[in-house]
Amino acid sequence: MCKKNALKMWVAFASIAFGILLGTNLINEFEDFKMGAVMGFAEGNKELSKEKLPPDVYYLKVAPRTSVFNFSETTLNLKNGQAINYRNHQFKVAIPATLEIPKKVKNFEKFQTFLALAVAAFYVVILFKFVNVMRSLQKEVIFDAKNINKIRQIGYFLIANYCLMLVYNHLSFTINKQMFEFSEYIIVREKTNAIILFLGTLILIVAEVIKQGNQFKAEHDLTI
Amino acid sequence: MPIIVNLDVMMAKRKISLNELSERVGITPANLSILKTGKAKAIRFSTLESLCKELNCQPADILAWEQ
Repeated sequence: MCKKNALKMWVAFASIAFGILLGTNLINEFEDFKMGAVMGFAEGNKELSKEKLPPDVYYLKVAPRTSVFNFSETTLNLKNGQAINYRNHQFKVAIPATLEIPKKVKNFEKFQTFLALAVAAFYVVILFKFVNVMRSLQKEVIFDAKNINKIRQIGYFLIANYCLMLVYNHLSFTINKQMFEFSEYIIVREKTNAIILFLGTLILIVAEVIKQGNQFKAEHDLTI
Repeated sequence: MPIIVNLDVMMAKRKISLNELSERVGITPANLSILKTGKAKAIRFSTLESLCKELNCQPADILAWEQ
């Protein structure tokens, strides 16, 4: 009885922790999006008619060239001599792009959109598989081949997501380096959260351990 | 599997049914059937002892090894 309650308690705890993880990630992404959207919308309303969309907003991570305390609100884009006003958020700046975007950069951006959609789709799949596994654990079906496969798939999808985000961040950095060069700031590569890779690997190890447990259970069941 | 279980032979010699033997030995008929058909992965000494006692035989009469 105690073991059953302990399992249910940990399943509930894991579900809450997963919810917090997703929630905080989504809040961060939403804050970034909001900052970019607010910036872009404000700029768009100033200069363009209602039928036209606001101009692109570039959202990039920078570091000051001199001191971390010297974070001015305007800088110069050395690529075209344009003075830029921007807003700061966690060492990121959102810049309304009034430059002409090269075709190469547009293609990169299309590929980035595809990557972003793939990452979002993978997270949705991970969520569904996680919910299914938690449901099985609630029913005390633990050492099940289907469960093992689902857990393994969660691990693979997390590792795949890390790889996709790595490519996405590299593309962002490449695009930003092509579009901008600031007098007071250096453009910094966005770091990909390596904990996703570690978590994916850990989950694969757990799946292997459960598979071994399944084999031991089968042998035990066939011990007369 | 190289270990052959000749339980059915001994059961026929002693003229005892599966259900009766399982009841005497203290294991379920399903488990005894798994043992009889050679699907078991392992057997406990306590189970082997009970079987030998009920069938009045030696372990070698129940288990054999073939290459």
